[in-house]
Amino acid sequence: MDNQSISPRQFMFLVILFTVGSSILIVPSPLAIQAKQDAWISISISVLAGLLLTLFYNQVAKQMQNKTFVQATIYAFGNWVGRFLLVFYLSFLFILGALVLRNIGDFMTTEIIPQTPLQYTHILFLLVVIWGAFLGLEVLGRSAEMFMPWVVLFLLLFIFALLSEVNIENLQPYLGDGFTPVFSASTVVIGTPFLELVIFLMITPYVKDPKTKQRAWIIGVLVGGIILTMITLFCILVLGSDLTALNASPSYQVAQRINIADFLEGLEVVIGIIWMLTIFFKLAIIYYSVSIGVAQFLTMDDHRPLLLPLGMGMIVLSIIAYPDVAYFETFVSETWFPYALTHGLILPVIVWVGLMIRGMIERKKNNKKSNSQSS
Amino acid sequence: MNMWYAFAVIFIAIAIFALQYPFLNKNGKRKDIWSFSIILLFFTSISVLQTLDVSLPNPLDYIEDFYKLILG
Repeated sequence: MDNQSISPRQFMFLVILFTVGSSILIVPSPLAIQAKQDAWISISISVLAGLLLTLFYNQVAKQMQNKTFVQATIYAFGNWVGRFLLVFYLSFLFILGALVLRNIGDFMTTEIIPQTPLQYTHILFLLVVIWGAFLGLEVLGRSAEMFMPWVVLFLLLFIFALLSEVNIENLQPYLGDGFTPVFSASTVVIGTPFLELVIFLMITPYVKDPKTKQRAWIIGVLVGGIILTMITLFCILVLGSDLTALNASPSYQVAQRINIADFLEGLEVVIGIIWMLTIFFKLAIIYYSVSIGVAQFLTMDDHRPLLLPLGMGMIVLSIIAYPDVAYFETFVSETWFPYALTHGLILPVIVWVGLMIRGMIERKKNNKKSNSQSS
Repeated sequence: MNMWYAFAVIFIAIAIFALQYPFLNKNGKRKDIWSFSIILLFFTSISVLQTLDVSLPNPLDYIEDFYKLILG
């Protein structure tokens, strides 16, 4: 593949943007449905689980030794079994990409441009993403560095402008229904986005400096998790848990409440820029990983010719994925967690064990060779 | 009307092929050209079916059924 590399800092920014992107829109309302006013507790639990997951992914990345996940799986399990496992991994990434594309499409059609058909929003958005994936990881990393200050600035604006709307009674009573709904709700956020972080196993080999990149990954997840927690907390503080549960994109509804001294209103589109930026980076990372993964799966020299054909498939899948809103809600809150758990935890565990066994076999072989040479 | 969308999709697919073929040919790897063409043909046919309003199977349905089966 092409010899591109990004610095640990750029990697950290990509992790933050990936964690926040699209989850910021879809996470608060299923949380509020299940955990009500305690949604912020369950999201904090999920952030802890996400940090543990990241520690595990770092171990897998260490075992992979500068190979991407696709190359490492083929190395560990051989051509046929490895490719069989990878079909599932790559289809998971591809479906994830289509669903993220659908998230931004649904958001745009319900909130900003209701007259435009879904297909055109998807095509236009994906063209930009393809252009980003065409230019490669270095460009994505540098643009993440450029846009990060804007995201932070708008988030601070969001939080400070809403401080006057906060109603602390919306959080009470704490743990009114006990711990059970809080824990069951936290699986939603573990599925989206923390188990999706498995995608960075395709990116880590391109990050310079092996020592700091582990820390960069963990700090990225932590910062992204804190941002998600803050957004969910403000949704509940401002709207209350009932309204948060009812809205399709509560974080955008919250932004509509911004009213600075009865003078500055209608700032929600400015805040919506954060959503678009973060989703762009999330989709670009997914798209880049999918195309690189498919190229390495087929042992092609270059991933770029695959970008446009894969895009055609992704647009069709994103259109047919959710027939209606009810389907989307049950899929996100019920099916996605086991699906993501299979591909985000069980599959990496299998590959991790396979890599360790493979490493032991190789070492034995080398020992034998050196023994036979010496004798 | 849908016919025209289908033609547009086929036209775009031909344009993609014409755009990428020189690059692939320069590398001179036969297998790359084949895998690229097969992927392009597969997704083009799916897109054409979608524009003609053929109801395509939704992969998410299978995923949902599978996990319902396992988790009960």
